Amino acid sequence: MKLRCCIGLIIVAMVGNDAMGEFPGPIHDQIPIMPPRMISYTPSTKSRVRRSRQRSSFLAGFEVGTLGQRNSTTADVLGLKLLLGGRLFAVFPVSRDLYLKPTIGFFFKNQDIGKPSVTQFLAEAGLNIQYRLSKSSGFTWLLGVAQKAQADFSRISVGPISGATTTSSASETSPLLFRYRIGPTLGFTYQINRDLGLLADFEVSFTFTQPIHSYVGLVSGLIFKF
Amino acid sequence: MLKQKWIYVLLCLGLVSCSEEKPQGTIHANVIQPTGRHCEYTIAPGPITTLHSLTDMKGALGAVVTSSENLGSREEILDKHDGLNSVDVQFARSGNTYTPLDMDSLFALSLYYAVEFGYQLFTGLDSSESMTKVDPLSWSRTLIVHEARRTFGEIGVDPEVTDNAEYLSHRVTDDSGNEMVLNYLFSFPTDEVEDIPLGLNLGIMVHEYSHLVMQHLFWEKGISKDTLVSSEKPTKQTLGALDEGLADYFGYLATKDPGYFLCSFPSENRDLSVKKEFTDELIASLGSDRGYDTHTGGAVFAAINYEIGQAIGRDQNGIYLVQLMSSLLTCSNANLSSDSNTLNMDFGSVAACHAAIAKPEHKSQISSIYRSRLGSYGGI
Repeated sequence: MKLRCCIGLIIVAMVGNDAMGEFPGPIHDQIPIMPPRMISYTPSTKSRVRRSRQRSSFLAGFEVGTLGQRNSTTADVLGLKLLLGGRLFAVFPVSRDLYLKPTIGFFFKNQDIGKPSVTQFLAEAGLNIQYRLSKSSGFTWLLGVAQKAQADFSRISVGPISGATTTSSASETSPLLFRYRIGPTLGFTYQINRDLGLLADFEVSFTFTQPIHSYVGLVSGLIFKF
Repeated sequence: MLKQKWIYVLLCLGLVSCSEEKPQGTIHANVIQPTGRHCEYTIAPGPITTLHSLTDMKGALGAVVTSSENLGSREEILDKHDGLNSVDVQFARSGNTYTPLDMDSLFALSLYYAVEFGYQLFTGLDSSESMTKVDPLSWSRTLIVHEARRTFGEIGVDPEVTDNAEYLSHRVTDDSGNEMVLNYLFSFPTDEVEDIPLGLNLGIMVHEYSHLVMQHLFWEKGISKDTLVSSEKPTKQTLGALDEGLADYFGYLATKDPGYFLCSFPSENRDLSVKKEFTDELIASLGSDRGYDTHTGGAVFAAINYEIGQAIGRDQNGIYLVQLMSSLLTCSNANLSSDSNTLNMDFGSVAACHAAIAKPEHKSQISSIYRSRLGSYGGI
């Protein structure tokens, strides 16, 4: 356990170093402000390029999808319990091929068995570091590290029960459970037009807490240039 | 400077995530609890003192596990616990109170809580040393199986069990040639139950735990003495029904709701507060294998004991019933013939044993209630 913790901390520290690599001067003056595929659509005339650089634009968007949590007992598919939800994100280039992608997300899953129900909620804030792998056929492929700080909580409720002397029901909301998870991510972007693109991300991540929980995320959405 | 701040933030996140859940002393499990009013439930913390690891749901009373295989598909599963895995659980903690974050965690925590509740119930009721002789704290290999997959019949032909719970005593021989009993408590998948799943019904899981106690206070004692069960009187059926009836009563003691069974099966005739008696038809069925259901006879015995509990105090009657389990083999009314070592008994002799155990001030009340409900089994 201690070894795993140490490895985890080292990874976190390394990721932190990479993410905070030294980039002299304002980023927008030196590197493209858009994911590679979108850049390829930027007109190449000097005037348009100048206008583009003058705009203080940034990239942001949303993703919806599922976050699968490994569950050996009552899985929805492939041993995973699927939470549904989505994320808001922004994209900041830190070098020609390296991007930071801060995200906030919210996922949930409701499980009913008879009258008792448990709704699991997962709120997360993350910072993905993505590296541009290739650009071909309109797609730009990105590989990186996904890391998320997540807060889990649940709402348990029960009743009313058939034949009970009362019709009251009960519910309870749990306190928050904070966890950190990290893992690889693979995604792509596809530009629809100058200001709009499609993207999809696949990630596999693991918590450090015992028991270690593994997650598989599959989300897709739209990315906008603002 | 900014770079350093981010590194510290990330390092802190890494440190926070390195904690492991190993409870020290008593914890409180935030689970679905009966309020004592009929089929009314609340979500409230209940104490658990014997759990060693929340991660593995393992404690002094056993472990909560699950299996992706049918438990009867390979001998090794029940013999050696091969293929039984811990349940994926996650809890949010506030102080010493743990709240499940998903349904499996709720089941796992509730199942262990119910077993410990049963253990504490019986320990509290035991005024003799009988329970120390069967102290389940020594049964660390007891397994509580969540979402158990099992077939009563032929695997692949008969359907797997759903909407049920079961205690199974599984006899194995270890590598040294010693015979031992492994205790299994099964909570089967929920299919048609629309109210409280059996695994979350405290009364039903304590009912199953009561079978475990009966196994070790009565059945194992008889087995160790090579006692035979007579086929001349309805002894086997009577003992089966007695086992069920006792379990029904202890489930009631756990929930304080005589109708706790109906919270899972509303249409069953298992409400202890509804008066029942041994009719000629029931007595006849106890004497034959045809059309016999241990639960039917058990429900009558439980209802009679509910009446006795109302008269002398439900916990006091619980104390007597634990003593009854323990002394049934040696009770003179059990007609255990010394020459053949064969047990002969019916509910008349069970009632006589029960009354014999009671304190003088309770004997007449117990006998009177039995007399009014025993039908053709006669007076005691």
